[in-house]
Formats: sequence, structure tokens, C-alpha cells
Amino acid sequence: MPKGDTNDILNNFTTGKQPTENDWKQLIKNSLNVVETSPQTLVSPLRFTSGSHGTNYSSSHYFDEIAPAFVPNLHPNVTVFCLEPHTFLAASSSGAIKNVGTNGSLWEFDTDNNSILHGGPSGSLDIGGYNIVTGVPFDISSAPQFKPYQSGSGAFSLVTGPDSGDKTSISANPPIFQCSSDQQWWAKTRFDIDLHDNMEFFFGVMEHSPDSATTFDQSAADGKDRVGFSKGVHTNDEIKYQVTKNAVGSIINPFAPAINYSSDRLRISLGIWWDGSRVNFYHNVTTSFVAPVGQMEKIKDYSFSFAIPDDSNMRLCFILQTGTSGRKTATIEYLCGAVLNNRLN
Amino acid sequence: MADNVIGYSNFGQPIINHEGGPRAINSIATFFKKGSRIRVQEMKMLISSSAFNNTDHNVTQNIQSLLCFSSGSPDIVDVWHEKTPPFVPHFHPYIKVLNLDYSTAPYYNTMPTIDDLDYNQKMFNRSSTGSYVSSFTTDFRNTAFGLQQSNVANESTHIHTNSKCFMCNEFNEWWVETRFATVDADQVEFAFGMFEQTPNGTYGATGLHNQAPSNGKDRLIFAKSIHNENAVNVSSSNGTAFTGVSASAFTTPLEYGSNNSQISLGIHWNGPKNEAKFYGSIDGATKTPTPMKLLTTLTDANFPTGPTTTMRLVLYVQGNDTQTDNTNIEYIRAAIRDYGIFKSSL
Repeated sequence: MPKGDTNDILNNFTTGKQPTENDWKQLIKNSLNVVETSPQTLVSPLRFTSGSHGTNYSSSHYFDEIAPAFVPNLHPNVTVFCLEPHTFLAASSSGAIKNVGTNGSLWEFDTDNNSILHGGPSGSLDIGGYNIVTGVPFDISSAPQFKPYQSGSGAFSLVTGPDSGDKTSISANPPIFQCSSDQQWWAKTRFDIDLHDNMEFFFGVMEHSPDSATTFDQSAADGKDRVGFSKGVHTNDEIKYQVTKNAVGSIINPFAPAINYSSDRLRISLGIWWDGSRVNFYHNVTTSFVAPVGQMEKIKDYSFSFAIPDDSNMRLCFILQTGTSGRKTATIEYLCGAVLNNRLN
Repeated sequence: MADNVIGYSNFGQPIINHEGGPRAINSIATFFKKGSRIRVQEMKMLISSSAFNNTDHNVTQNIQSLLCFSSGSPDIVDVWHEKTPPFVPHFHPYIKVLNLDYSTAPYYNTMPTIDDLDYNQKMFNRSSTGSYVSSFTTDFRNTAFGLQQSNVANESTHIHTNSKCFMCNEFNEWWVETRFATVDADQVEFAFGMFEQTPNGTYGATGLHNQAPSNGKDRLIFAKSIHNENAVNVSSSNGTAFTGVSASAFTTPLEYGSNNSQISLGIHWNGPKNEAKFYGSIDGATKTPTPMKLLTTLTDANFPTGPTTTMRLVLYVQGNDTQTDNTNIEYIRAAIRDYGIFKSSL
């Protein structure tokens, strides 16, 4: 295979240069050919942006400019976790979502407090030993996040217990997310919550087990490293970010401008990209519960090295907590993570 | 218009003129016409528009449009998959995929019936009549699952998407495809495509697919409408307005007349063109399926009008007799290009 990346090739065609036969060969042989009959190789992950024919992207401003396809085994050196309706069916039907801490399944769910992980008719796919309450509005044809112009591809629900302070979580069990210089990783989710001012949540990666005995709003400490978004006060709409290493770092960093979860059932998209030196936060939230979703845009990059957890192994997780009595429901379209392991190089 | 904005897309997004930035194929081709003087800028455009197998991890290999895989062979023309995205969930962030096939069907043993509709969040439902069976027949290269008819004449069985997430308007683009085989070709009627009606009604011998066009009954479908006739026709309706194309008028007639023949069907709705293309092929039992051909194109027809009309994807089978015959299904798939990000309201 000819050597040389895009910049190398560009350098062969700068002003005043006379490209040689080899320069042209390098250009042609490095390019994907749509009618080539032999296999073609891509070294780097392939990314897809908007799908629009109209916009030329050239930055990392939008999450999809920097994130790979969240498809397991598409790239041999990108490890992907993706819990969405297709994979949820497989995992839940085969009992492959176990209680957090079991260490026997890819995805784990915190069953404490009679929490519920729900994705089908009552009783058939509920996990957690508690059948869903009759009348809970899980009809996707009427749920606002699945208005016709939206995905319609289904969802699953995470439901807290009924008492104030009850917390539950869904997490990828393998703790392979590291903020090291030789690794990149991405995480994204899209969900809505039924009562915005009665709940708290966390999305990101966490060193400690996302069990109900732990909380995502406890102070930075040894063994509690994390990177993520959090809504830490149920009566306050503001979403903040957490980046902590041991006792360093804050769990209540505000974004500027502030981002909020200000109404019931707003679809919110959250993304995190660890690029090897910085934590980049991406976000989008619908303007009303019937509005289409938008692209996630970068709202913060964080590079304070003392607070970046570069010595811990973390899990991808989503945590939901009710701040008042009564169950709270997060309807989740997807929960995805991807890790590019560059250490082969 | 800002200096670096050279126009706007159909969806209102600015098209930025990055110096030497990426351009579409046709634009680049114009730079290399006979007699053209190739400058550095044109070369930059060519190079920055290409995906490279390069070794620089910091270079983004972005693809703005779809990436399609066709036959996998240089000798086989596969016009359907040349224009169809891979039916792989989360492959493209703005294409939603709904896929019921050999890899996901095993988990549908608990597939809810239409009667459970109020309770579930699944992608697919099945009818409350007939049975859903796992029938991993070797007739299909990738195995199959089955729908078994009830023993009541003219009763239907069906699988359909739970959500009415399909529309025909200028902001939508979607692709749907299926491949299946029925045990008794001349005792069965079937339809595949978009229905506004919920498919679990009581339709008697007429069937869901033969309802007279009227409000609330819009559709865009393939249908074998008469059990003892082989033609698989195409129709579209919007209220009482109706457009139909019979199989005999297709570029290649579509006739389903042999038991266990494998029929492949595909529909591509192209909203910006206000156009629906219908693809299909039929192959004998146990034969390797051939690529679908373009059968007919409806343009500016009596399409169901979204967002007023929202529809489900339905594979509908209706038996004429009282036999509990199977329809073996290799896959039912849908992909929806999400243009919602470009339009603040519809």
C-alpha cells in the first residue's frame, strides 16, 4: 500500500511543484475506488456527518464529525458498546442484562429499589422483578420522542423506584474507558425524562460501580474518578459537567452558557469525546417536546490535566434518580460508547 | 450572504466555500476537462474530497452522503443496493434502521401482538391472528422466520412496525425491503409497503390491501390482490385519489405463481424528487436470489401526503383457504434518512 496521508499527498501538489508519476500513483492508490473489485482498506475509522449534500464540515464542532460509526466489529481496533432497541431485544430476551456488580454480562442494570428496565409488553421484558404499572405511558405511537418525523425505531426505559432518592442505572460492565494519551473514546446518548424538575441524572464514564449505594454527586475522591454530564439537583434544571481524578476536580462545573433540562420529555442528546488530551462535551436539546432533534454541538473542551482521570479504568453509564416520591422514567433511544485503542501503534 | 457562503442546500444549510475544500464529484470533474489548467486549488479540492486509506489518525475521514454497498461482485448489477444505505443500526448517525431478520428475529419470540400496542416500545408487532414461528428453513441463504396463517379463511396475518414513522413528503427519504416465500402461491394474497390503517382491523375477504381509497386509508404498496392471480401490482392512494400500476406494465412483469418462490421487494421514497421507485425480483425455491430490478417509478402521483398521513411498514398475508400455511420471511428492513435536523418544523 502506498504510504502517505492526506497532508503528504497535498504536499505533492503545492504551488510550483511538478507532480511525478509516483505522486500521481500515490494519489490514486490511496483513494477509495468505487468500482475496485479487490478489497479496499481504510486505516482510520470512517465517520459520517449529516448526510446532507449541502454542508462542508471542516472542524470538530459537531459530534458526528469526530465520532466513528457505533457499529461493533466494523473497525477492528474500535471497541463499541451500543444499547439500542435492536441490541436491547437480544440482551433482555436472553437475560443478558444482569444486576450491576454481577460481572456476568456486557450490560448491567441496578435492580435495587424495585427499579425497572423496560422494553416490551408488561412482564415480558421487564427486568428487575417488578412488573410495570398499568397505565404508564409507554406507547411509542403517542410518546413525543417518536412523533412521525422522528426515529420511530423504538426505545427502552429505565424507571426508578417509587421513593424519594431512589436511584437506578444502566451501564456497560467492562471498565475500558481511560483518559490516556494513547486512547480516544466517544460516548453518546439520547433520552427524555418524564418529569424534569423531579429527577437527577448522570451520563458519562465512572470508575466506581454505578450501584445505588454510590452517588454520582459525591465529591471527588480516590476510586471515584469520573467524566460526565450531571443534573445534580432535582429542583434545578441546570446540567453541569464533572471531570475528576482522585480528590482533584469539580463535580459542579457549569457550562458557559448554561445548558438546562427545562421541560418534561425534552429529547436531549449528550456526547463526550476524549481526544487523547482533552475532554470535549457535546450537547443538543429539543426546544419543545414535539420539536425535531438537532445535531450535537461542542459546548466545552476541558484540558486541566490534574483533574483528568488518566490512571483509572471507567465504565460507561447512565444513572437516574428521583428527587421526590414517585417513579421517574427515562426513555432512552440509545446508549453508546466506542474506544479506539491506539496502543497498537 | 457571507463571503464564504456560496449557496444553500435544499434544507437551508449554508454551503461554505472552504479554500480548496471538498466538493461533490460532478464539481470536481469539471476541473479536469480537456484543456483545463489544473491549479493547486483544484488539486486540493480533489484530495480533500477523497477518502484515503491514510495513516494519519488526526485526519477525519468524513463522508457526508450515504455509503452504499452493492452486489459485492463486478459482474452483477444491483441497482437497488447501489442507492440503498446498509441496513445497519448506528452505521450512519442520521439514518434510522429497523431490521427484522435472522439476527434479530430469534429475539422476537416475545414479539407483541397488535393488541399489545399500547404497552410496548418495540420496533415491530405482529397480528393477533395466526402465529409467529421460528422456521429456520434452508430455503433462504440467511435462514428465515415464519408467519403461520390461521385456519380461518380470509383471515390475515402480518408483521408491521409499531410506530407510524413513515411519511411521504419532501423532507423524507426512506428505503424498505423484504424477501419472503409463501407455501401456497395461489391461495394467498399479500401486500408489502406503507399503510395508514392499523392492520388488525376486520377486513373480510376484501382485505386490508384492497380497501377502496378513502381518507384514513392511504397507502403506498406492492400487492398481490387476488389469490388465484399471479400479478403483484403497485398502488398509491391519497384520500380517494388513486394511482395504480399493474404488473404487466412493469419493465419486468412481477408474477408470483409458484409455491415457495422467493420474492424480493423494495420501495424507495425520494422526497426531494417527489418520487417512489419500486424494485423487485422473483426466484425459485432454494435458488440464489437475484438482485432486484427497477420495476416502475411513480412521480408526482397520488402519494399519501405527510405529515398529515403517517404510515406503518406492513407485510400483510391473507389466506383464501383454511390451511395453516406458512410464509417464510428472510427479512423486513427499513431505513429512514432523518432530515429533521435540517428543518425546525414540519
